[in-house]
Amino acid sequence: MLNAAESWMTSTWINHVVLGYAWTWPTLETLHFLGLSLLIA
Amino acid sequence: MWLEATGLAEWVRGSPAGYPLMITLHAFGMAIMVGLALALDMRLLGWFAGMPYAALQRFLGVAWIGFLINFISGSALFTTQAASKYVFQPGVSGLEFNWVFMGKMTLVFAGAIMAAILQTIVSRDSATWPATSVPGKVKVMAWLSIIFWLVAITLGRLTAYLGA
Repeated sequence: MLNAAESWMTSTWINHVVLGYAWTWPTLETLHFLGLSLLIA
Repeated sequence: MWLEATGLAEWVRGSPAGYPLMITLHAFGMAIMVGLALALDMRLLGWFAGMPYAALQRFLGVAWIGFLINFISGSALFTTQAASKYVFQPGVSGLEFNWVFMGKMTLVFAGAIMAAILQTIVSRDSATWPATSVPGKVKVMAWLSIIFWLVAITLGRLTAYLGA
């Protein structure tokens, strides 16, 4: 079941956008850290 | 560099728990310090006007606990690749000065200094301010604080991806 879920996730366009461009991952991670900070606040 | 050969550096670099523990503490410390600093900045810019300044004051000491956690965990992470990644990093023509990390550190300390100044001003003067308005100079400092922290977080993340 987990394998099926992983296969589905890796086939989505989101996966392609996140892994297909050099700047997507660092940008999302920066926003993730900012969100974490605001959550604490 | 001698820092990279210390017992602390070897523990953080080599033990199963060292690096994950330090990077987790670094994220916690950042969230506490930056989160509370941004809350103060936003209040000074007029958001959440119903919140009294005195209520924020109670949390400001906690922000510095976050900064201390960050300083300790960040120093431990720094020792692992002090000269080979953070001060200098491998580039096309050998080791090059790491402007991204140094820029991050400059902005972190600028943000911390600004937070200390704003906390002092709020503690000293806020009783005389109306609930919805603070002096223009203080608003400019609050905007600068937000910019310092946002760019510092961005450069901190880029440090992990630029260079080797």
